[in-house]
Amino acid sequence: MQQIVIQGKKREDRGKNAMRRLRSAGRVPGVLYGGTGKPVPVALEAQQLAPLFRTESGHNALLNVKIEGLSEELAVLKDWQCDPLHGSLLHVDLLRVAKDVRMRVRVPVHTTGDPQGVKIQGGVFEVISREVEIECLPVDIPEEFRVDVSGLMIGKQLRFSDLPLDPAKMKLVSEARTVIAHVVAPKKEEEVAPEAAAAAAATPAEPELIKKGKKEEEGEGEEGAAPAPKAAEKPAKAEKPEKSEKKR
Amino acid sequence: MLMPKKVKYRKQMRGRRTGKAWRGSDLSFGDCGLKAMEAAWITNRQIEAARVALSRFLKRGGKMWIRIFPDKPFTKKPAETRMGKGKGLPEYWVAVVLPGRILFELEGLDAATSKEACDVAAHKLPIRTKYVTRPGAA
Repeated sequence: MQQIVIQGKKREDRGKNAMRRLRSAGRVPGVLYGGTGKPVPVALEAQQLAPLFRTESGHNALLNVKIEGLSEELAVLKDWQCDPLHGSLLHVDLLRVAKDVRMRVRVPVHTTGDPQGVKIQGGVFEVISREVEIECLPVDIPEEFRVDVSGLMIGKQLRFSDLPLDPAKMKLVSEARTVIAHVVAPKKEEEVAPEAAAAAAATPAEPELIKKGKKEEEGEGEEGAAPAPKAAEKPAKAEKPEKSEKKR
Repeated sequence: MLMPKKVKYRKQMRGRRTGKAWRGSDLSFGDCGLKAMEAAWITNRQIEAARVALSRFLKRGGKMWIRIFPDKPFTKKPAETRMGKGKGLPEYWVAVVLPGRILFELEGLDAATSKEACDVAAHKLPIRTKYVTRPGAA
């Protein structure tokens, strides 16, 4: 796994206005926490963080965080917030890690090759799980797992237990039976008869209303019929203003 | 067309469409998708039109996810009706979409075909959209 040097400053300002000023100056607010030290609010260089988000495995990179006035620390990206519209980085959480302590990480799983079930049998290849959780030392975090799916036929699956894990270095945390990818038979679209389709379009059905106190009304029996006349009166009241309009 | 099976009330207030879609703004299932860049009420007819457009490309194999659901009733007064006399009748259903929301997701198509499919589907929608892919994908 690659190691990246991230430089930053200790952050004294708080609040959204200060953070907006910080972001417009090309920095990203964040927090460095975990391990034996105290949580430190930091401002990091956005340009140095950008490469982490260009690849799927970039999130697992080991970071050498150099904060002014503090000693250099090893950390990983624990969490981050991005703008939903433009994708710009808003905030990062950095977790201190020790080189000799095992940690849990999610590693991307990529498939290679064209499955035979698609080429020969005409099936549909579906990727179910894109990440697997493993436990390992920070230095042993793999960038990704590449799995060859060219032998997959219709009805066959590839599971986490099939991943090439090094048992001395890594331990599978995710359920071993979880399917990574499979090839399924193509679904045939039901052809709707034109008459049925026209009928469905002509009558826009309204959804069913969830009624309150339905059970009480049923239990009352004859008394339940009492509110019905009230409902009938309502349209009569509504008609009154129409009469006045006619007079005009 | 998409619509709820059961509702508690027939009519709803209009509400406000402010802010961004902080939920449902990432690709969750597919390799690529269509992201809304504006806020809008997307009707069930528009969703259906986009779905049909996308499904034509999926005949070559692939999978599609619709990430929005029209659960808001849109009411309308009849033509040439005087104001007053209460709220109009439910006419159709809309999905409230905020900027950043993923509308559709695709999987199993090559990059060029999925881009073309999303472009065609985008023409069926009343808002500006963006074709998005997973990081590192071609």
